[in-house]
Amino acid sequence: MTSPASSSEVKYLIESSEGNTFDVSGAALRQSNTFNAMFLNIGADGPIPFTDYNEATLKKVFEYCEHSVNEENYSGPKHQDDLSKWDLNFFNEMDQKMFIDVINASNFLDIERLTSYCCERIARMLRGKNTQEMIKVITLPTAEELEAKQKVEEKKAAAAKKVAEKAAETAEKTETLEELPVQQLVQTTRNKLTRKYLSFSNE
Amino acid sequence: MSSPFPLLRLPGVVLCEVFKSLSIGEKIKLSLCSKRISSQINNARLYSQKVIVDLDILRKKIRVHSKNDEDSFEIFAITDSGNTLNSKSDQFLVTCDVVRDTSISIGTTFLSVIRHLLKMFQCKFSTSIDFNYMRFYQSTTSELFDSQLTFKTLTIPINGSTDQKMVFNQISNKFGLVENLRILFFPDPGFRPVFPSWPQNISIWSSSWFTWNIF
Repeated sequence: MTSPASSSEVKYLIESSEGNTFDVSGAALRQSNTFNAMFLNIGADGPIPFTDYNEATLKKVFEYCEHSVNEENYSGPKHQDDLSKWDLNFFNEMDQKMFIDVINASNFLDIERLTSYCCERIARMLRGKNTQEMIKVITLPTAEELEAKQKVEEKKAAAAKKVAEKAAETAEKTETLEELPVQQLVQTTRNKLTRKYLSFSNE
Repeated sequence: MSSPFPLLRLPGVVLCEVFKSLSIGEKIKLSLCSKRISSQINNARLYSQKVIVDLDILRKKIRVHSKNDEDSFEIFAITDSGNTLNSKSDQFLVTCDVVRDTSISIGTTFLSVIRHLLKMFQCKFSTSIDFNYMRFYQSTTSELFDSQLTFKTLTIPINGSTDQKMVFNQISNKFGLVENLRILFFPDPGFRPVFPSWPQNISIWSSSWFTWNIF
């Protein structure tokens, strides 16, 4: 059902990047300022396409919205220590990739409470650390690491080139009839004739 | 989430929120991690805390704190000899304690540290000028005034020497940028200060000889 939401009973269909659709209550969706600005007053004709995000991410985001429907109105960022047990479990069960996807989706949907908690969680990773420790926490390759990485890649490329050259050389050698033993020579000639026959018959 | 977190892959708005959640010290330390992070923090300057920067130029110490003083961070000079003044140069060798061994440097002079802070925060300055070491103050205070930066508090002791008169007259036309000006006069310095521009508040100490007529 996709009509203008006046009661929390109204359900909306959400479409994910995979093309799958699922229901979300109007009350949960109204926590998204993006949704409020786009669809609240005019309603949606069919599923609402949030196709930049996958189903798992959107379900996770709206799981949070459904849970916080009955909580008091959002009044600014909360300290991580004030989070409920449910909130902590919600964040703890996410891996890093899912966490980043949830932040991005929450940012797009403009869900203030969830975005704020996510940011506080990231800030917590940096809290009480010196610069060196911060560098370890966030992905920041140093100049030496970049140089070392480049060297490794160059070495790998050189090795791959060598292997390719060797393979080409070997192939060339096997094609040279003089170097093949008699049985192999017969087999190779047979293969060549078969290939020729097949190409004729195709024509 | 034990693997390193790709902070710079987050959208700018989210990064801005993350920076807002950090304390003054955490933000300064983070800004030293890399140039890209530093520039992201600088981009969010308008949404950043308003801070007061106390310049202790003689002790080569900078204290950055919030208005209510609940959040503060100190940056100080590291000297080998223990001497705070560098007699060979007019510049102070100031190094932030967190700078060492990191990929980005905050700079080696008082002014470079101030410039770094100015890019990150909305700053107001506080300092007490000691005219005995005026040459150490001149470049710093002149640049701050020339950049039209505002002072929360400026303390000036005056004993009437020629150098002091000259410096006072140089900076007095910028007093409009000062919120609280404190002037400490030594017993009758034989100097009648002129105020081409006025600070918001002025307090004059040890000046029984200083009367309305002087204004």
